[in-house]
Amino acid sequence: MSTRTRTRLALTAAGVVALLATSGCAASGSDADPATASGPVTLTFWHEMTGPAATELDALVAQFNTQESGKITVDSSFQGTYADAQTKYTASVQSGTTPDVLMMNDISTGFMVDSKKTVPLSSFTDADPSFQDDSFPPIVSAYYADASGGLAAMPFAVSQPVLYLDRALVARAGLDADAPPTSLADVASWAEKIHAATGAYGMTMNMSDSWMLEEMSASGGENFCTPDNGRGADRVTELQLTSPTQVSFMGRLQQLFQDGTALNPGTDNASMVSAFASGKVGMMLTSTGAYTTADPTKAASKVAAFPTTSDASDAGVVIGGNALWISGDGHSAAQQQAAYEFVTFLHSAEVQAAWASATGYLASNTAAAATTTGSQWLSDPNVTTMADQLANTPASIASAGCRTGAFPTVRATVIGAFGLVVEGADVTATMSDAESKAADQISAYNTAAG
Amino acid sequence: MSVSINARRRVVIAPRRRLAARSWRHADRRVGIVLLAPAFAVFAVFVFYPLGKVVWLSMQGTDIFGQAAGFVGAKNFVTIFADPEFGGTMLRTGAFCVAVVVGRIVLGLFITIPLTVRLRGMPVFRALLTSPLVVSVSAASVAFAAMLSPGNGLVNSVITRFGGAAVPWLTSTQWAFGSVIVVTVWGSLGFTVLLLLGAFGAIDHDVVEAAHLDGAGPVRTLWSISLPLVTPTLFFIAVTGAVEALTAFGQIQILTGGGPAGATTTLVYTIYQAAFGAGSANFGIAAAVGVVLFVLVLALSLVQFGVLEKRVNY
Repeated sequence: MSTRTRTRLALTAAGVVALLATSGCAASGSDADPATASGPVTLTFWHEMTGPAATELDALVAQFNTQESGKITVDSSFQGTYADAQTKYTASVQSGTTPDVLMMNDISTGFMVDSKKTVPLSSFTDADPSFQDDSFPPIVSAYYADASGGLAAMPFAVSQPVLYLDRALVARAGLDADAPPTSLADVASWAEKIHAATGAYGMTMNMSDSWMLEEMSASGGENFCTPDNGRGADRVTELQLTSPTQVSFMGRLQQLFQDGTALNPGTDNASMVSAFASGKVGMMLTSTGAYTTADPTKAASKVAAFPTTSDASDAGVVIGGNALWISGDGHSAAQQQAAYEFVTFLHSAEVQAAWASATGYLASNTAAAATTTGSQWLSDPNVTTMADQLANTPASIASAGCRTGAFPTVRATVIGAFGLVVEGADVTATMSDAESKAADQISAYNTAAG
Repeated sequence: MSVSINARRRVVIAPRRRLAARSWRHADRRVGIVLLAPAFAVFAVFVFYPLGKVVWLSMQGTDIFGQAAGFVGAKNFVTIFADPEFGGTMLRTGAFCVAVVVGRIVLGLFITIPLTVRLRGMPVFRALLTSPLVVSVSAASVAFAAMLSPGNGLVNSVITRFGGAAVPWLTSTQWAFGSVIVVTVWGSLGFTVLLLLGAFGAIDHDVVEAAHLDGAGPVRTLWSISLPLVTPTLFFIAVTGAVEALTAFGQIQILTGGGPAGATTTLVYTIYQAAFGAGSANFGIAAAVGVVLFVLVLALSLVQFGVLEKRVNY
């Protein structure tokens, strides 16, 4: 083999390897420049639904595509957990390939507003006389309200925390599930009775993040963040974790976990629901969305309203779930309008009724109850309890919940501190330390957000 | 040396041939460079560039999308070292590393030594005991998470069935760290046993026989003959085990999510939380922790090769 041939071969080999190495780095990008798109519009839609919710969502997307055949096609794709989706979204912002419609969970609302990459829903609804602004339960509108009072995004899947009671265990403790406890103090007392009478755990609740503590703050009329839960003109700068109401309910919870009355499921929410479903826990504080797995028979449990932690008049519970965000930058007016049509389809009464009955989420359209599917869905008294709680929650600042882009970060800090509390640490001192750490985290986020 | 040979040759070869030889040498060098180029290109793309990017990012502020937002010098390092929890995380990472390496070696030897005895059916036991090798860390962690679940996990069900109290394996700061170590050691045990079986199998039987003839008992033979002869493998297990422990992630994410109260958060998990787990994509801080981890792994490797390797018999 001549030198020249060898050199050529080696160069070719180097070229092939370099090509292989760099081909994986090329961004897939969008199919076409959206600004020049004309004719039928194809929308990219990112979601994070799994299980029955994913099946139902796929069916709804297919229904929309059929209905809009030749005009709009929605290309939906699953993006993993909400945290995964947010990570991918930040990468897509960097590469300029954001989805047309993005589903994002409740606590990332602050981040999505700060991103300034989306168009407020109200800018579409203001120009749409057919849209019913009052079609949302008040607490839902309050949660996703932007600074101008309109909606920042389209609420889609809505959930709330409720109290589940195992009818059999409650009865063995000599209690009546149809007259459930209404305050956390009563829940604690019931938990002790169930534990003493049956040996099963008296109660459990989500412990993978601080969601339950946020809900108990709201159900005592307390803001979780200051100032004003981030709902006023100023950004959130601190958490509030040491009010008398909060210290009181955390102290009560500490007793329950310390003496073995309450089950701490750690980061595994699924195992918590499974423990309740298999009759090892008397009561469970968790999402309405867990209903189908917590009680597949829909008869073994009683669903009751989330307990209050004080009798404050603006007490209520914060909604969970997700909303649909319409992208602005890099997306044509035609795409944005098509995206608006898609999200209004998902908000329609019929779709929300079907969605709620298939998934355990609550309908975010008040007209859903009047549909045929909606009335069947509400024939279950447990579902009626959930729907009533959503409809009756006052739209106060406390129940609107905290809004800061640093929320996902500070949740880990709060639950870390509460983890120490359930092992016996002093409530006030430990939560005060968490307040300090969270303030630093929020400050770092606010600096990054500019 | 080849240089002097070439120098001598240069004196005797004819001018035309000398030119040709020089051209060959240049050609060889070119070919050498070209042949190295693919490997260098791959290293450049997948090793050098990311490493340089991490160092660069560690000195950058980041916006909420994780994009670099201006040079901040050592500020990110100051931030992480000023965090009172960071010292604890470093100590925990070190303790995790030592526990996993020691556990892996001690348990590996404890299991492997009886397996070196020639008995009927031993291959079956060997296959069973090396089987964790084929189980991924994630799959094993999911299985252990189910078994150690506080509510209706298998382990607590057995304990309570026999009248004991349920143990908060993954939900208590006293137990969670140990549980993650046990799962990590279990996951690496198959590979350890496989390596040690090979090492013990390669020992020259004549040496062992000679020790027996000299009156050495089984314990003395093991301590003075067999173990010294497998030290290269033990060293390999220690080095790879330390790096694996320092970079452990999957089991922590699945079993405890770094909790409770940070009791199982190691340096790698801190990087994940800063960059991806907390929503705000703080790549500056994540990169700074990454640089600290890189320096630690480098220092540990140098110490291992400088100190431990001196006790290895090749």
